[in-house]
Amino acid sequence: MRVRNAWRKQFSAEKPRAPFSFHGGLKLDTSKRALTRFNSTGIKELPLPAKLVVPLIDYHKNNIEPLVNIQQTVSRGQIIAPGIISPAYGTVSVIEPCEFIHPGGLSVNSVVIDTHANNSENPPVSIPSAKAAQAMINSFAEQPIETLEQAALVGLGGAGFPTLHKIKSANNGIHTLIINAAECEPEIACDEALMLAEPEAIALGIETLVQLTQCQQCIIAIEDSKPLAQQQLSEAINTFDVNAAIMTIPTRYPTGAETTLIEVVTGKRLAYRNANSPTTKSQTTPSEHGIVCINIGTAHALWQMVERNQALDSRVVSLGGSNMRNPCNVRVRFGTPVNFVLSATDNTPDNAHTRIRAGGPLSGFDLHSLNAPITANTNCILAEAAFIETPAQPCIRCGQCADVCPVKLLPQQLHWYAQSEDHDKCAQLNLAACIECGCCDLVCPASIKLTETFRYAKSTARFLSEQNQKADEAEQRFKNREERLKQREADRKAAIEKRKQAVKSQDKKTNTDRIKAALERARTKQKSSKD
Amino acid sequence: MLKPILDTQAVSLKTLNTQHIMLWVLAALLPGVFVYAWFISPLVFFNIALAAVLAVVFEALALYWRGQAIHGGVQDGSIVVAAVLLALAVPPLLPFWQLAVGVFIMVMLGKQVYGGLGNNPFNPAMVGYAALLVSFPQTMTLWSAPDLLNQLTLGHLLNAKLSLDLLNPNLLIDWDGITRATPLEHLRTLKMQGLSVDQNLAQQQFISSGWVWTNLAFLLGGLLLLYRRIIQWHIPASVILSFALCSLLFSAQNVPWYLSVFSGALMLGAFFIATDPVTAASSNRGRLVFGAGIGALCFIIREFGGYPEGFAFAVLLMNLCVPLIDHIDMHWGTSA
Amino acid sequence: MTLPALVGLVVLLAALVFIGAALARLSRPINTEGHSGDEQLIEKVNNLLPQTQCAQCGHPGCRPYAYAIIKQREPINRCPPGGDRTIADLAELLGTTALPLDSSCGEQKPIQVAIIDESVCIGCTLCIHACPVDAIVGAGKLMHTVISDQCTGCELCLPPCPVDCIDLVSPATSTSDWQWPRPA
Ligand code: SF4
Ligand code: SF4
Ligand code: SF4
Repeated sequence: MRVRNAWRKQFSAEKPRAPFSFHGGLKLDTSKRALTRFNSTGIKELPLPAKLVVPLIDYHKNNIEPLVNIQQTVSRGQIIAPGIISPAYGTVSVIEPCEFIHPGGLSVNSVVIDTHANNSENPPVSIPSAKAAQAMINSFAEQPIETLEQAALVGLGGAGFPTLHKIKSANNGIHTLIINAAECEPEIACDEALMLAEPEAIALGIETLVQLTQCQQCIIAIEDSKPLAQQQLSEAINTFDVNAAIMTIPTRYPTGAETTLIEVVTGKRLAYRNANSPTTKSQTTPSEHGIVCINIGTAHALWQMVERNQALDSRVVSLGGSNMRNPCNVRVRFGTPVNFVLSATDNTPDNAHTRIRAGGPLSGFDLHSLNAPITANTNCILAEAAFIETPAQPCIRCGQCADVCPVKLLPQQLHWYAQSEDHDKCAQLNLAACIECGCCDLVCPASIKLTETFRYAKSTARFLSEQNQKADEAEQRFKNREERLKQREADRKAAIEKRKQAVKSQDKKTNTDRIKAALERARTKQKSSKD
Repeated sequence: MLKPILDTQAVSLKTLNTQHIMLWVLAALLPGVFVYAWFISPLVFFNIALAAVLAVVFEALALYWRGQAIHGGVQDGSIVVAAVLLALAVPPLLPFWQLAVGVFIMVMLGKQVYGGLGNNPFNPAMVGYAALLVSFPQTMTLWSAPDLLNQLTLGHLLNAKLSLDLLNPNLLIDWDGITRATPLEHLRTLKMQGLSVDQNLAQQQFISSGWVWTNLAFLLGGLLLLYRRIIQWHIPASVILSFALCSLLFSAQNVPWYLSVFSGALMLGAFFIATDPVTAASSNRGRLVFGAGIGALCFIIREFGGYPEGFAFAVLLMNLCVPLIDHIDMHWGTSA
Repeated sequence: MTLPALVGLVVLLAALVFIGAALARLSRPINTEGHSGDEQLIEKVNNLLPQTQCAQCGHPGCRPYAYAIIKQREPINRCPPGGDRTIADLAELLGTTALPLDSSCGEQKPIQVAIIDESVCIGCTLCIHACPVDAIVGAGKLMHTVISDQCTGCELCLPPCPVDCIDLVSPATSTSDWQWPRPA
């Protein structure tokens, strides 16, 4: 049995330290958030649609092969492809490319599940007594960590990295576990809603994580703009004696992003351009530093796993934006198409100019189709009016973009090189560290599309390097083939030569024989004539 | 159906664009302009109006020639700011046609030949100023006497300004009656003649000339820009500090440093000219170096050079260094 | 003449000679370096070529073309798959000017991959022998197929096919190589 370390007790008793700060960032107006409607509606539970669409794609955007067949009946939580579970009981009606939430409106092979009307609702999580909860957590934490695979836990912050991999990649042990309860983008309020609705489940999920990861300290980072949620959560933490400390962090976009959050909590910079040598990338992964960042939504999902062995198959989504009639927070089963979410909340766009976006106002993108299904990454759906983009003016080198960049890049320089397709220079300036937060874009007085250019340059650089790798492989195969052909040719020649040799030597032999025979005959003739 | 827009922002969250910046700069110049008009010469209003109108016209013309969108190029207002700065830098009595030449050079050689806003390596206003200074040395040092302002009507002044002979600007009809050297020029003349300057007298002259008040008014405007975060503190602070330090340590003239800091065009330059983002260094550390260079060069030119005021040349020289500063800074890591 | 003038003259001459020599050294074309330099250069040129191995340049592959560029001064604008981008890169590497693509070699086309209509394929193995990068699999009298991931789109397998069952298609954009559009 894993024992709790004494120091951990010590830590949680300790008054949490003040947060560090990070470079740049922006104070955004978060007053319009969907949470304002929370008090009247709470988190709405959405009914199950008749059809769920589960894209077969993993975190690295690679297609994966399904483990189920058409017409097969799947149960809720059944693994239908590596790392992917069925969000509901139903029948696989078809496996075909379907649109999914993607800025380019691409389609990807998906499993379409016909749900049946008798599907069970999500029962609310039950909260046991503190003692019972500890016992449950202990027995859960004793299982091998691979059991987590069944939970299909992925980060619910927006990137969707598999939680199990995150925990396992820290092979030097986990020093600091950061629970991310920061949502600094306007409009996104799903985490806050969850904290207000089910603080106990979150607290228990966090305790489970602490036990699982055996971390030395666990810090829950909440912004100062959410005092109520913080209070609820801290009460729950006290009730269940969770080994975690709450840190109140300033509300400044993008504190919720992993790199910045780590810097705020630990003071460690992971993605900055190396001050001494800009030519070497200084980016390191958090787990190399023994830091793991996990979203509170994921902690909540983990508790569902502990409590009733239910895998992660739904999430809270904030609906907001200026054209959203009923902004609210809803719990949506994965695979639910966006238009179902909108119609079920009476938010179907009523005019053709409404743009529907996935993700926050800064980090998100416009959707091409409302048939795209909600996945673990979809934290927010926005309905916005069309607006006329300001045409870009020339850069006046004001340097504001560099002032706000949370990872201390030089967006102005990067933009210059990215536009001229100088990918080497961009790499030198550490474009890869850009978190695409949009801060530089927002402040640029010349309305230059900085972040978009960086997104473009990053994807192009990745594409080109893939092309390069493919070219190298092609060359290798070409070389092998040349070798092989040469070898074959040489073999053929050798074989011919050998046969020639063989023929020759045979010839020689027979010739001498013949000569010998002739001589013999001659001799006998001579002899006989002499006789 | 859906019409996706490729944009990182869902809605326009922008607060500041180039036009706003330029409007703020113009607004911040106002107190300085009024104090200048009050103490030095009201003719400055005419110069500003003329320079601004001409600058817009020339800019539109240049954009037309270059086949660019005229409206989009002019509306950012940057050329108006440059024109106002030029008008504030030249002596109020400068003949109109000379000012027009200066504006033309500013727009064409200072800005448009490089490809317009954002691409010019030199501060356009200072390019125009330097061109005027070397071309028309006489009229570029014609400063009306502040103590005579009460006696002269605006009509007199305008008349005098217009009466400058187009063909022979050196023909000065009773100019001595209404012009007076600025304190800086006065100092320079004395020094040239090998005379020492009495400190009290110099102080009095500095204060009574109104230049100190004008500088204070520009300082006020500059602080407004700082407060509005239109400019960063790095450049003005380093210009003023390095200039003050130089005059404290090396000045041979009997003028205390705190007065020479408020003389000439130093405040105008430190807050409004040197801070032109296009031609300044782009990182904070680079800006400190850039400003310090301007301050020091300005002192050197004032103290040892042939011109009474060296701000324009200091700025132009440091503009030359900007690519180097930026390059070194980039390779030393990011700004602090 | 006075001595200082003489000294000045000498210094001036020396400076001119030095500068001239330095310029002459610097302007020497790169490909007159020694043998090992050539090898390295061929390697570098080869790295810039797209490795489609299509032979449109008139050489039996990318490396032979790289060899020809360096050793036989073959023009650098003969690779259609690489297009202007490759020409520009080559020009930069070799210190020459970028020329427009030699249209006698072909036109630059978007990336394509071959696909075999498996219902028509008679399993003659001719395409397998034609493929320079071993991207076709199959055995005699059996259906053949193209490994689209490995196909470079060189079109060399098209002419030998006796039943014309090979087509070139543009590969479906997969999520992993989707690119954000370039902002205007
Ligand atoms: S989008 Fe990239 S470059 Fe711009 S501020 Fe954010 S991290 Fe920095
Ligand atoms: S914020 Fe815009 S105008 Fe200012 S330096 Fe950056 S890119 Fe240029
Ligand atoms: S034309 Fe074909 S074979 Fe020749 S270099 Fe280009 S890709 Fe290689």
